[in-house]
Amino acid sequence: LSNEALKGHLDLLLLALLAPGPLHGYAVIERLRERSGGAFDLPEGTIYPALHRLEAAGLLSSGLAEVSRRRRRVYAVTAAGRAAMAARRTAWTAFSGGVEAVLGSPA
Amino acid sequence: VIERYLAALDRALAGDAAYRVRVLGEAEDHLRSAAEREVDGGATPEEAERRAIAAFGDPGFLARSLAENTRRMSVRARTGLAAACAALTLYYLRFLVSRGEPATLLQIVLLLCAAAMLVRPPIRIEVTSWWVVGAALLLLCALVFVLGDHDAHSASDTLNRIVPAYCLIGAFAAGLVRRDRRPATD
Repeated sequence: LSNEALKGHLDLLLLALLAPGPLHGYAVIERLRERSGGAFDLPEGTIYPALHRLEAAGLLSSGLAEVSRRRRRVYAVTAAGRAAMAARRTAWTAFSGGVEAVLGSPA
Repeated sequence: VIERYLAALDRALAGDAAYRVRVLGEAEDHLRSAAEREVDGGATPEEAERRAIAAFGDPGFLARSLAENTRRMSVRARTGLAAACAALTLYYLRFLVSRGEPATLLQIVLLLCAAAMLVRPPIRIEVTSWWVVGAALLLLCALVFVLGDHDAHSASDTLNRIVPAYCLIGAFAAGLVRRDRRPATD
């Protein structure tokens, strides 16, 4: 998928990737690559503006932590982030279900 | 190779020094982690760094994306600050025009506003030149208004009343000097 197609869904993907526990930026990209099967072709640096935007909106929090012998900034989902993720997941499920229904229906 | 990339990113980044340090730290950590992964996969160190940088993306594009965040936040912060300053100034003038007692509380609030503009705010504020010029003009108008009111007050009284305005103008001037850098590739 192109970067353009991914735009608008990146926030939900980042929230979902961080929901199980805090991660640093590189780990987020690795997790995204693994779980999407390499489907998303976006410059890796793109996630940082998105992470910062989500943090400014109060959906993520961040702090420095020692990870793999390095002091790294790790991000975690806040309570508001979990609520936002649930709402966006519902919206996405409705949207993707609608698209599937249209694509799957006979012409 | 990574150092050259980080230097280019630093030149392109907007924002205060602390924010640039944060972004550069995250970028360096990411690039070194990616390069290590490439070396583990059999690439030479130099080739690994090149691949890591290619995957990370153009520094100008990244800087512009980060600057968009700053602008989005700064519009709210700037509007709020401008509204607060305008309201306080008008309120202050109202007290002066009505020839009432000096509004001590308002003077204190104005002085606190001046102090608040000199310290680093909890949110990122990108103070643009036009905003500073507009706010300074507003305060200049207030100053002229007060100075023109000699009949009602003694010189020392007038001076006492305009001290907060002077402080605000000083704070704006300091803010202008310390104004955040704008992205080089915007």
